[in-house]
Amino acid sequence: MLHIIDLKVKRGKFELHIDDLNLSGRSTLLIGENGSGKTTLLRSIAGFIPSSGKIYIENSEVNSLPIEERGVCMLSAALNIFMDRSVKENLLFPKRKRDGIYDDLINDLGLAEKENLKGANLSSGESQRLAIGRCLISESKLMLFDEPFSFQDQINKMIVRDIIEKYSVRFNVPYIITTNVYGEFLYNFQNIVSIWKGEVIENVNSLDQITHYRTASLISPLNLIKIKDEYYTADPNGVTFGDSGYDYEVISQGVFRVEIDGNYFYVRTSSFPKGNKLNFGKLRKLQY
Amino acid sequence: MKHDKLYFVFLIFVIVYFGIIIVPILRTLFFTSISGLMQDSKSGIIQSIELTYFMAFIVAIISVGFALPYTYFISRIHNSFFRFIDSLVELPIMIPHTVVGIIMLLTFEPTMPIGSLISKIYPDYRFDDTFFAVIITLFFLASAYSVRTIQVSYTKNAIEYENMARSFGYKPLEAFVLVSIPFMWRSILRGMALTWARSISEVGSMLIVAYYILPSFTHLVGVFIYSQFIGNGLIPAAESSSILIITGLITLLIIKLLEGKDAAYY
Repeated sequence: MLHIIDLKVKRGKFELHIDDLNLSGRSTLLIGENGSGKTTLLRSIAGFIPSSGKIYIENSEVNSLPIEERGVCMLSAALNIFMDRSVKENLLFPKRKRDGIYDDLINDLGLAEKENLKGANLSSGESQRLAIGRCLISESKLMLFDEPFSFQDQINKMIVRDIIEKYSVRFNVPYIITTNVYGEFLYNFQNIVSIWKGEVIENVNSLDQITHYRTASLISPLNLIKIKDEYYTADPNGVTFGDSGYDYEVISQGVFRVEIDGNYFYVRTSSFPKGNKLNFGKLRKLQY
Repeated sequence: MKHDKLYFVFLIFVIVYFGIIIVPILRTLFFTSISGLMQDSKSGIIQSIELTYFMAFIVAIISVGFALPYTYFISRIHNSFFRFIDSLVELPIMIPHTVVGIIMLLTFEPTMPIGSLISKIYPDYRFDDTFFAVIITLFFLASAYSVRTIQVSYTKNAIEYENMARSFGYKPLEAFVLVSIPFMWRSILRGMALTWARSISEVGSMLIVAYYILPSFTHLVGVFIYSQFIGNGLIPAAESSSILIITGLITLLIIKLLEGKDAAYY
């Protein structure tokens, strides 16, 4: 689907360098801390910023092509909705677009009743769904969504994820999502790519396969612990309470704060606290 | 809403500012009588205003024609050489206008380097007192107003919108014309109005390059009123000034109406 070789982008002191990233699945979750290079990577794939190296989409090299010939649409964090045009005009803006899906799409986006409203009259969440819809209706070979959940409430996060997945399957178009918001809507990605300081540190096919501390901490800081400079993830079912182990205090039902070597960590378990010490049982060591 | 003290202190500044602008204009308008204006309208001032407005309009159109591609190009260049070049846009505004007239003669007279090149292509070429002399000199003096007004409105945002349009299949020129120009049209109109107004007010350089314009021997309005003042004294010059001010106010009002209310573009 997407193969990136030796991609380099320099932005001031920051350098993005993707040595070799090969994504074969249709859905990709791109995660990383703020400033790790997620948006820079998407913008260089879309051609919005110049980069060196090779980018292959469906086995065709596109990094030498201008933006309009790459067949890549991108949802930017700024949304870029036309405030003085109607929802319908905004949605039908792409020059290359798929015929016959407008009615389905505007219904799925929850904007059918607002199709004649100007972009300026939409809420932030609605504007974001409109911008996502504009990408979905476009005839693209790859869809890039930078923070598509940032303005959505909990229910609409699920809806947005479902809509993107639905149209991706319907037209067999792969997509990449970046996000800083983590939750249930992040399950079932075929690729999970983690970047840090401009480099890929992990590329796996499911959340269970994550082995890097930084990736795991982005998904959830719960059950991540550090003992003698080594990072581990604790199995919630392996946690026990007794007279030996680590000091803890109850934060909320099923969540405990544990002190290890002077640092605090948070652990979730269904075990009932019966003693004044907590033990982790089996730990899985993480890369750091 | 109750206003604070600062509001009223600054209100005084606003009143004084408009006083300085409006009082001399009103003084000129009330100095002249209706019958005086009617009489002066036969002096040739109307023909002079018509020609001046027309020439200034041509200069405004040409200025916008250059300002749009200039803005597109310069917004995408980030090296220090072009930043220096960009700072030269305002240079003509700083040069005394009589000096601008001399610069133009030194450049475009048939005996001068550029003028002699043009003479080789057009054997009957002459520079002083021609339409070309007026247009190129006014463009030199007034184009910066269009360039800067349009440049300010063409923000990083506009480039992002163009990128978005191109990712949906639009070519660069289509994206610029269909996306950015509609965003900028108020600024384009404002830039045109400023260039047009600046062109109308020009006298110094015109006294040197085009005291009258061939073949009709009509003066541009600034030169016309200056000649009236030198030849016939204050009163006819004040009457012509009043006619110019009234037509100018009407034109600016029309431009403001066309501009409409400011809106959030992006």
